[in-house]
Amino acid sequence: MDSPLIPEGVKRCSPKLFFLWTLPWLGLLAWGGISAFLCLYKGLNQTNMSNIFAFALWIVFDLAVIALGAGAFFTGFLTYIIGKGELKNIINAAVIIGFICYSGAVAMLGIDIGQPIRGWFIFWHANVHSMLVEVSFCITCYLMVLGIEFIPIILENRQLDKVPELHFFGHNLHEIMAVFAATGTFLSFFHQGSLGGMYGVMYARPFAARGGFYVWPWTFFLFILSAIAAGPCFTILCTKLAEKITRKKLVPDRAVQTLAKISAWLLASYMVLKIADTLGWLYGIVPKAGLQFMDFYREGPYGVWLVVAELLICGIVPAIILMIPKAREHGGWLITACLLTCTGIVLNRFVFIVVNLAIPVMPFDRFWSYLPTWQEWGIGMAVVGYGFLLFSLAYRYLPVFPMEKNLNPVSE
Amino acid sequence: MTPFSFEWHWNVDYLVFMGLLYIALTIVACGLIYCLVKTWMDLSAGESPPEAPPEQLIYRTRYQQY
Repeated sequence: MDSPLIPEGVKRCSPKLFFLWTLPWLGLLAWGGISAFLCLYKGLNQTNMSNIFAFALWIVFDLAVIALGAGAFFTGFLTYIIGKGELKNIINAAVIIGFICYSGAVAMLGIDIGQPIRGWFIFWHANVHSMLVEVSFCITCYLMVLGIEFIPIILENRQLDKVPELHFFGHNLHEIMAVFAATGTFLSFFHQGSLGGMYGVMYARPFAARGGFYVWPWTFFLFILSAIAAGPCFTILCTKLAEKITRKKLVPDRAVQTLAKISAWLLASYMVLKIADTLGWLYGIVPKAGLQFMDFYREGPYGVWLVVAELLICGIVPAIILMIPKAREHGGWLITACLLTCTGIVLNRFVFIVVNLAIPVMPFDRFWSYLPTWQEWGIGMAVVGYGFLLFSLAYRYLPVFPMEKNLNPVSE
Repeated sequence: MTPFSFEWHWNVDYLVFMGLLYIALTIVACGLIYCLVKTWMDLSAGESPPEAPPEQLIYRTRYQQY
């Protein structure tokens, strides 16, 4: 039925099977749609957010998907600016994953701000000293750049490519893609950093506050480094998942190994700096605030295990695995390391958002707990459903993996 | 926010912050305009889309052909 739309020389499942595959993701989107309607119609009282937890599950999702979506800008930077040719085999997938992550994050923010109709205020009445304003500007602009990077992939659809106007436009866009990739790198660098900087400047919260360089706290640089280390790992994970589901080889090993190797060195550098930052915080900021390390982990479910899980299990361990060539060439170890890296980054963002707000800051304060409502989960899960759906549609109708045809010859 | 907005201050903070934003937006806009004009020129020249792109072109899905 839809065979004229499917790229030439590749095999796809039947439309019926594809429709069945999309059902769970459509279900998640429906759940998200109901939740969004309730939040917009009745207000944010549908959530468990409060004056204490002004940032909650949605911001954890936002920061996590933005860090994981960093594979798009970083792979683009390596491909178009540094000239790593082998990554052209994976750049399309990286761009689509980045687009899904950023558009999902922006959509979620649209609900989070409570009154999306006033969303433009942050652009028009900008506070130029606010890290959050910088984040908003850069995320919006970068989503625009990602959209532009996505257009040539869409225009390579078998039917769209036949239209001369679209063919030439897609081709011309691709010719100057390095310009967009460089702009995307600039925008991403600053919003990834400012997301971290936003926490580092919370001087009233010793759990998050950090020293730094000029106006940038150390968390500014750590967030950039962690995002460019975890982003490629997430791209590898998504590609491997697509290979597992389609039972095909989609990307040559060389491209995956290059990304994994770069990710390994970045993750190792990040871990060294993160440990130094943690020690600096432990022996500098904490005693200056009249506190001790264990004061932060005494109450609630967030114990020292969080530090061990984030730094050791989801940081040092995957860095070691990815740095050993024999280990990263082994499929199982590669997936384990990428999974641990991505988990570590999500855990890091969770700690900075939820744990940071839960810990009391005054002697008379108490520990605050927070559990998301089904509406909050609904919006978060809708992003997951949207991601699966868009990636599935892109895989079915667009030539996402340029080497698929060569790696999986179709016998007539 | 633009320099014509009532909140605008002519100081280095505003110039750096908003200046960098407008530079990024200008680059993106110029890139898009260049592509649109080049497409229009290609079409006016009466070129038909080639079956296989010429060798010097880097084309995402077909780069392995070069």
